[in-house]
Amino acid sequence: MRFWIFQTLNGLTTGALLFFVASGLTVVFGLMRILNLAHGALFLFGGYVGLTVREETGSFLLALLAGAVAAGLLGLAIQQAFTRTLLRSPFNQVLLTLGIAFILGNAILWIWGGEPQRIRPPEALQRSREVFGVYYPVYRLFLIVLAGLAGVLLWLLWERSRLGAIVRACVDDRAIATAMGIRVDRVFAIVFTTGAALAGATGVLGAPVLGLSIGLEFDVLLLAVVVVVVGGIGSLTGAFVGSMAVGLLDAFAKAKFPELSYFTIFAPVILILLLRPTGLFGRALE
Amino acid sequence: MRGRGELIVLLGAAILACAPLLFGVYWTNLLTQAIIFGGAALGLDILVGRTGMPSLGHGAFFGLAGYGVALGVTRWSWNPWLAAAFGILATIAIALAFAPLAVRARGLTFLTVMLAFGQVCWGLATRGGEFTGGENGLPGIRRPSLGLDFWDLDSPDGFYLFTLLVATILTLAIARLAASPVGLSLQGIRDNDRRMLALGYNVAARRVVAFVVAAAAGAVYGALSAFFNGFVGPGSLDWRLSAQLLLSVVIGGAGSLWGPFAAGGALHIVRTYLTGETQRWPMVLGALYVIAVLVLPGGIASIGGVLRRRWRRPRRQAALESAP
Repeated sequence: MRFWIFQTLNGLTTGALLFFVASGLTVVFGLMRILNLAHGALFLFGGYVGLTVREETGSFLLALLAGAVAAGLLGLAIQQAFTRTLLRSPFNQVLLTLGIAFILGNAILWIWGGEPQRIRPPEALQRSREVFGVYYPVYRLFLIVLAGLAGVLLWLLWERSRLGAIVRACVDDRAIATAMGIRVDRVFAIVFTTGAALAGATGVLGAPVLGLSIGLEFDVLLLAVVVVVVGGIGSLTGAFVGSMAVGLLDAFAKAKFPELSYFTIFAPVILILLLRPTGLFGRALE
Repeated sequence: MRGRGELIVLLGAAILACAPLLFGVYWTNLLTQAIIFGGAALGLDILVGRTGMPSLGHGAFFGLAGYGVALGVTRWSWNPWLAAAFGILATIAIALAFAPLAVRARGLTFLTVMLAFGQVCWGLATRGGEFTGGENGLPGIRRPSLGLDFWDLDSPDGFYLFTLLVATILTLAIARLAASPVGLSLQGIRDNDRRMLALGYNVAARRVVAFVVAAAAGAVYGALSAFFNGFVGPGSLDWRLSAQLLLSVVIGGAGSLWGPFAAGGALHIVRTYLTGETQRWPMVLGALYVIAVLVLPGGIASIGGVLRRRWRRPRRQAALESAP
């Protein structure tokens, strides 16, 4: 029983981090049909900026803010510079965003060095406490709660706010939304920047658990892409369910069958996509 | 037209065959690998460029064939020729079994399915323990022998020429397939699959053909690569190799066949050079990708058209101005 509770909590922690990364990716994709393969690099960049701020100022909150702002600004710069090129063809997207990811990853290596790093969690959350009969780090519990809160908040923003309605309209039919007077390019700039900032903040949030190391950006990216496609492109609900499913699958598989750890994540992905090519919560894209 | 294409391939092969006379061992070995990666990219172009199905898992077939060869030679002590046949045929069989499922997906979903397929293979190889050598891979792959005194595959020149011969035959076969009615129907599927379906073509079956041809080409070059290195490791199944192949196709110009071959080979040479020259090579490579998109969105293969337009425009303008 202990084992199950412990691994469930581990899975939810991974799922929480994955959800923050995948939500930005899926909305950008749903909106403009742009697959941003530099999303993982933005995540790592935010994390390293947070590391520096945490060490200089000692404040985790400031680090979180700095990571979000730095990644957000970088995302905005990428969006402003390359949107027209990105829209030209899907092949260009792969080439361009992967190129940016390589540049950014190497720049991080240049600035911060290749040693794996770790951000200390906030002092108030460094202990462990008992939940459901197991001792578990408070910081990880905080991440799970935060993911729940963020999920609710994003859902409200998505379903109940004006901005959310506009974004949904653009995802559904960009041409009609434009005809209705919506400035799709501005909506896209806002969504892309928000997604990048969210990725950067996740880099900081995840650093006490996953650490920071070169190569992590692609591990995270691959899982996030899987979450987006399995959940259904452009669907926040799908991103949430997909993240938690992948997180839990990863936790149990790593504990039960360590020798099959990649097989157990990616084989179900293949199966799901073959049964439902549009993903669990997605609709067919034209 | 078709005869001309074949002539160009043969001419290119003849020029490349002179390379060992001009260059030393280092360049001969580098060119061998360049041909291997260029050829794999050309094979992938049938699937990506001609049929319009972007795959981010093509390295899997490259790596699987390599592992098949390695297992045959080192674990079961087979003759290298038998091991090569086993590696390639087993990989084709896997592709044939997986293709009907995979081609049900399109676009990004297909890309992700292939990514997942590649990760499954990679995961199995790294966690395979003693059998696959785990993270360390399988060293000690002997090269086959042709039984000819003047053609020794253990020498750099001999293996280079053998690789070139295989690549030439394979390229001729793929080019002929691309120009055949089946090849043209693949382009039709890329441009408008519903219309092809309405015209009575079995779209799924043709996608399977493209998939298996690309996988078979990948397998042949994967086997060559295993013999060349004498070693197979999980690196040959890494998704980064798949990304490199896909990028070669895009940089070369999807659908042009010769573009991906040139880009795949050039990319390997540039990469090898940069890795030796600077620690910042991923940055330079990344910048190259970005510049390639901005300057040549249609890939290397479009360079002729771009130059022609540049050259023609002033002339037409001059003609207009001189008109009475």
